[in-house]
Amino acid sequence: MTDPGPDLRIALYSGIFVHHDAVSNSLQSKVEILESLGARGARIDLTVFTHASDYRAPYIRGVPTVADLLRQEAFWSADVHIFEFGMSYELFDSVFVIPPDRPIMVVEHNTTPPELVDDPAVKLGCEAALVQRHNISRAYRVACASELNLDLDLSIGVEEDRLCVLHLPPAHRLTPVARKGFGDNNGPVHLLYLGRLVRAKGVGDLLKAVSSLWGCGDDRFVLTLAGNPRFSDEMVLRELHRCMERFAGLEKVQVVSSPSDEDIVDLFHSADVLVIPSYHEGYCVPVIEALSAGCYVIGSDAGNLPNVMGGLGRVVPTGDVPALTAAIADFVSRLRPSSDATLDTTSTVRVPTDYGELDYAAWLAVVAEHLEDYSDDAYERGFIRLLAELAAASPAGLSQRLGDLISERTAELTRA
Amino acid sequence: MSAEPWSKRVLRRFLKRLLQPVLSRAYARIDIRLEGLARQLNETVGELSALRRDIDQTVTTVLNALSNQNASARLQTRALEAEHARLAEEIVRQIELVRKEIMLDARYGRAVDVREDVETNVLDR
Repeated sequence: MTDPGPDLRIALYSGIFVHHDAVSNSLQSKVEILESLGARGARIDLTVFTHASDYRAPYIRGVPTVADLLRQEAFWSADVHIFEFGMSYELFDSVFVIPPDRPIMVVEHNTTPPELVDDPAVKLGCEAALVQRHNISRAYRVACASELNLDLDLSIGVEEDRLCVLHLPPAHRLTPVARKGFGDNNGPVHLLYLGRLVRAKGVGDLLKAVSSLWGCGDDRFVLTLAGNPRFSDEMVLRELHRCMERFAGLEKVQVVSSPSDEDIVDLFHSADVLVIPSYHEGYCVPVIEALSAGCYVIGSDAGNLPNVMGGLGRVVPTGDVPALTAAIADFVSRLRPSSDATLDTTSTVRVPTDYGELDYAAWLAVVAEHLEDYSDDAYERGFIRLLAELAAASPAGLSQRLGDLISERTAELTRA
Repeated sequence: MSAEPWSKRVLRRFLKRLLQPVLSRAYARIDIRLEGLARQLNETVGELSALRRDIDQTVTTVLNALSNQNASARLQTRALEAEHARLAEEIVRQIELVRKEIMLDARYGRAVDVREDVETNVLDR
């Protein structure tokens, strides 16, 4: 009997495929879902094409140029092609040579506006991405990581019926179980910033805000900044060092360089509030992770932040340092009305939301509802639905086996 | 195994001595030809590598140009669509003005230029 061959051959693409990178995590989530369909009996041939990766797996092919890609059998034999797109990368130009009968899906992650970028090389990449984004016109489906990204693609003329929102799931498994209420840790209130230490993330504004409060003698809170110095701006790092020198010896600022996955989980579990005063956010996974860990969020109204915060935190105008300072001071005062306030007060603490001032239990209930749409299950359900559409539109078609497995898994996820 | 007869050994040595110069020349020629072939092969491999590099570079450049052209064509199309929509609206507005002029002309029996009146909604009051 002859081998019927795979149900589907899939080529996935990303500029880089590395740990602790949101776009790479999006790709990794898809790989995991496809592997789990494989474990259930689907025969899926999977190839990841990327310029660079620190993952090690037989299906990952490092291809430095699009010319090298065109020499790969797996490129020409793929039934469907799925591209992650945020920053410009050469492999994304291969959309122009993919046979027209092979459906393409693009996952839209958004790009930092070039005017917010200081590093000249990154700035060039961001500018190139503005042009390359129009390659999306070749896509059969566009899965936008956020509502903001969907609006972005509408604004460049992508037809609405090809667009959908597919929220990325949190990169880390976090639960609020250990928490009894807002600020239930002993000692000062813990503020957390997690992300690249760059101007576009508003790190300078955050440092100004906390410095002004500490400068006035407020000793009720501390700040932890966690991020990868490799992806940070020199200017922001200098500001950070100045702030650390100014408050040296008072243990106000802690910096966690290149935190591991375990470190990130610990940081969220020990933080009381995540502060994200960005000037631009295409999605912002840390907000989802903070809410999942039962951690309050103070963020700016830039980009997708209001959407991802879902009215469950405090939104301040972008770049408004006094407003940010006031929001931090207000939150700290609620948790620690005076510097000797103890654990007993935490159960009665109420925080501002779009649904009124809520105590911890009520807040958690609304958070859980909000996070349903940002869960692993919601992501998997959305992705396999798109996969079925792509397979059906490909020359291979949606095989009976793959179709049945997708239906079965969708039913399980819906029941869950 | 029996030893080789004396006569055969002598014949072998004689033939070897006789053929040695011819064989040496033949081998030398073969060596020269082989060297030439190896050189040619290296040159061809070098040319092919250069050609491949050129093709790779061209592929990258062409696809990048396609991407740029695609973007500018789409932006141009959108600008044209917007202009088309604006013109269509303008035409509808002009037709409406002419219709109102004709209506007034029919009502008052004289040609009236009502553009300004219509624009200030005098007629709609």
